[in-house]
Amino acid sequence: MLNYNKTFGSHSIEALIGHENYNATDNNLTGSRSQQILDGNYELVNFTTTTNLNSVYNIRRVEGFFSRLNYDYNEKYFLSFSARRDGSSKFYKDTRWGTFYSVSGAWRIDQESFMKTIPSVNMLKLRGSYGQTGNDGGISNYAWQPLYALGWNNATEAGILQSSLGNTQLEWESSNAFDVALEFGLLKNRISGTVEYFNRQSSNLIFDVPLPLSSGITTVTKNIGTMYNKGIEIELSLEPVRTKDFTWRIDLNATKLKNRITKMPAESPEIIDGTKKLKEGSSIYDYWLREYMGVNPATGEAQYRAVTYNPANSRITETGDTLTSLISNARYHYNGTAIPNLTGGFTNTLKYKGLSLSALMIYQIGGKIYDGAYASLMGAGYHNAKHVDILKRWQNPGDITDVPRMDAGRTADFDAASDRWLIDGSYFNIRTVTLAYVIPKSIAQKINLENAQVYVSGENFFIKSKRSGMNVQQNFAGTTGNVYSAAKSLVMGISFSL
Amino acid sequence: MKNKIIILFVALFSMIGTSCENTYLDTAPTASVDAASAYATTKNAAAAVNGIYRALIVRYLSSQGHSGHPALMIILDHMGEDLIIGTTAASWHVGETRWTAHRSDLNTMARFPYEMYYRIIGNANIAIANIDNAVGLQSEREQLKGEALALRGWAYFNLVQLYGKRYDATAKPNAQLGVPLVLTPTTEGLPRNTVEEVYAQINKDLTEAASLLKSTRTFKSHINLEVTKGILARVALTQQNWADAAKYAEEARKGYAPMSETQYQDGFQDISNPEWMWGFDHLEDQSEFFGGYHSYISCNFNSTVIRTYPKVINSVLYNQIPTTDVRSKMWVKAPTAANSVVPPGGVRVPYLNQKFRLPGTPSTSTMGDVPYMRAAEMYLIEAEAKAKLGQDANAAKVLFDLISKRDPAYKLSTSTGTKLLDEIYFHRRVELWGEGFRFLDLKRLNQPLNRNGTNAIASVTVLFDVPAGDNAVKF
Repeated sequence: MLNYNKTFGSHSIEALIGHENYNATDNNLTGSRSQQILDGNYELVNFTTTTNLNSVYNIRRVEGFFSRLNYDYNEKYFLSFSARRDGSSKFYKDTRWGTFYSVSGAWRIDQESFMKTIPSVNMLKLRGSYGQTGNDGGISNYAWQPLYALGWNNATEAGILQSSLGNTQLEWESSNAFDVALEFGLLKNRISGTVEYFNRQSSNLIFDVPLPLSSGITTVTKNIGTMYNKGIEIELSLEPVRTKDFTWRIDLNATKLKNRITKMPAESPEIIDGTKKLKEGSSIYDYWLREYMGVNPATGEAQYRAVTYNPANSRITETGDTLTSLISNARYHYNGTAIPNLTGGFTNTLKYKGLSLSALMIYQIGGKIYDGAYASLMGAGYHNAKHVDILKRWQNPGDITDVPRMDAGRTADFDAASDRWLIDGSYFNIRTVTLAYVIPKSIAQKINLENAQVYVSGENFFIKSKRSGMNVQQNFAGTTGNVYSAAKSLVMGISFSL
Repeated sequence: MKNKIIILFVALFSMIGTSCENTYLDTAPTASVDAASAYATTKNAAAAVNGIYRALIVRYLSSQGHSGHPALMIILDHMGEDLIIGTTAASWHVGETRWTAHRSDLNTMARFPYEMYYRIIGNANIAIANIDNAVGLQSEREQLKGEALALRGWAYFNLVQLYGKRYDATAKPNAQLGVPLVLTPTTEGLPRNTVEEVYAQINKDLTEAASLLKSTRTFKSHINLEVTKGILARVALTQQNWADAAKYAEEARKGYAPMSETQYQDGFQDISNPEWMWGFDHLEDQSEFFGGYHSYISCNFNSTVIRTYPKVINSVLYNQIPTTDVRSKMWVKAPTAANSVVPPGGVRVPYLNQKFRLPGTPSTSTMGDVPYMRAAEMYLIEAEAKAKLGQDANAAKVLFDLISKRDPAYKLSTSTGTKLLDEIYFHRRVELWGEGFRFLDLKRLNQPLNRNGTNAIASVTVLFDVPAGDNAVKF
């Protein structure tokens, strides 16, 4: 790496060029044997039968050349430009090199002389950047190569089997992030914050594209498309009260995000991925599910909107809907997204002399959750714990309910994945509340302590979501499963340094 | 000053522009080989074809219960009425028994056979497309191509039986949809072909395979001429082509004599058995452990399945087996410590399976070999086909040739027509129990599933009747 610095007058320049080399090797040997000979000895030699013996030596290499040029004028205007070129051993030689640029600038408006006349503005800065970064993660070290795997021996004969199709077209995934933000501090910084707009384009997304199962191999690694995440993020800090002994501070943040797929590969324009369907113009967080249409009051069967009318499993309602009780005839549709309208949090901090009380609250407004954990508790089969809602199941002809009859022979139809399991994802969670007292120096020093503090802190004592007990915060894609939910904890403690 | 900066950048960009095109970034894995070399020589090609046989017996969808073709053999019998889960402790094969697993998108059962057999087909397609250019002896190329064709035909036969409606010889051409015929290496999705077209291709592949293959082979895990004829006999039987079924079955079993009574009690785990025509020869480092065939179907593997809910036989079927028949010892009606083998702490339930047994008790080995094809099946195909052709005396004779080896007291059957066929079907159910035939037999014969009056446990089984030709016989 070479660095160069120079300041002349109000101009300051910093330049850098460098070379980076990454070489990771993974060399391992695994083995197992069974049928112990003598008790209490766990060395391999004390067993008779080798059940597995394998070794592998994997290499991953990346070469990178990079440069950066920073310039500022009078600590008022900042400009930075950088470029890098990376080559990855995961890609074919014709496509392995990628070039990535970034540029950023900032303007300290508060340093301008005309701003000096407005004393209520303590800080004001406008910044913007555009940057590209390459990504070759999440794929095999030899992703471009068509391979046959060793180790498919058939009894005593050697055997190999097709293991990957390879793709000589595979290239770097690139993330192109644009953002512009205004940072400010007003009224002796009693009001400060940032308003930021971001637009992160990910292009040439690398994805293991599912192949038709009839091709004999399940996936091929491809650059499949382009998508963006754009949105606005606001951070605000307010101090409504600031006196010598007492302060009250509020920190707020809120994010609004929009996700869209803007390009899919021509040969696979639609990819079903669990409860979602990836398609141009929709989001990777949009649900694609069967349309659940309640329970047939006459039979207690679960009903879905039908693809076609089939007298054996369909009926037409008085309102003209064609419904089916058979999942193979059920129609899929897009229904909402896992992305909330707004997410964020706020912290209130109250300080009186050495005593402070702060509370962090987080929330989500809008967005849907696919509650798989609930779905499994509502399963109609044997051998499962049940949700109390199963008491509302259909039992007699004429029952009006949303829960189908319990029928172990029809679990496939009645418990199927559908928008029946979607629920509003809004929640409010008091994440932590902390009460702390800083022991006054005069007392602390007598017992040779510094920065001594006693505190009591509680976590997750209040979560309110649409379904009692539902843990919305499991993953951003909006699905739930059987996981440990956030623990409630109460901590009391003393912290100090000597 | 400015000049210096310019020089710096010129130097920098020239460096970026000419980034070294050396071989430093050309890496190669040690656990795999370049696909292009797989069919460069017949020696490599032999390894690639061997890999296909192994692919029949590994886990699919990362599931212990989906360990290849042997897992499906067990599952297809659970879908019939003869292989029964012995207690209510069951957790494996419950959905399969109730016919819900293969009809559900929440279950992997509908996908598992499809993914497995198309993997066989995909690799066979690569072999068929490339073997002609492999460097080596012509005889080696022919043998490998023959094996690949036979494997492809066999895989399509298994697929079309599961995913299509049954073949009906009285309704030719069978225009109902089967599975897509993928015959060259491609990643393109293809539309489904009709059942008639799929069967035509199966026969074409197997006939061509038969013309290329010889009887000689080094290992019984490979398909040779006789095995190919055995598959052809199965196909003909399913197509109700009785003449071909009888012909091929008779030719296929040449050189494979029925086993002795002693061999019959060996536990169905050794490929060297003279009656086994094709199977998998298990080695210690090729085990799927708890996923293996005998880990589920044996009476003595030390696993939760075998200990807490061992397999039992349909009581109605068992009670018809004469006590002089060695097969009556394959299940025990009133098992005790003296007359039956179970793993330590294992439950003993009436009609307990003893047919499949691993060496040693408790058995910690999973090294049971897997029977894909036995000569007994060929006798039974020939007998059934001849009875269907109206050659009752010939059919009875073939049946006698097999059953008299099982039961010294067996008398040549004098039955005719349906009665003789029923006798053949009875022996087929007893003889091939646990080897993956019952569901497919119900389907090919267009018979209903009827578990009423058997020892099937209501809360586990749930499903007792499926009418003949019901939609649910399709995966």
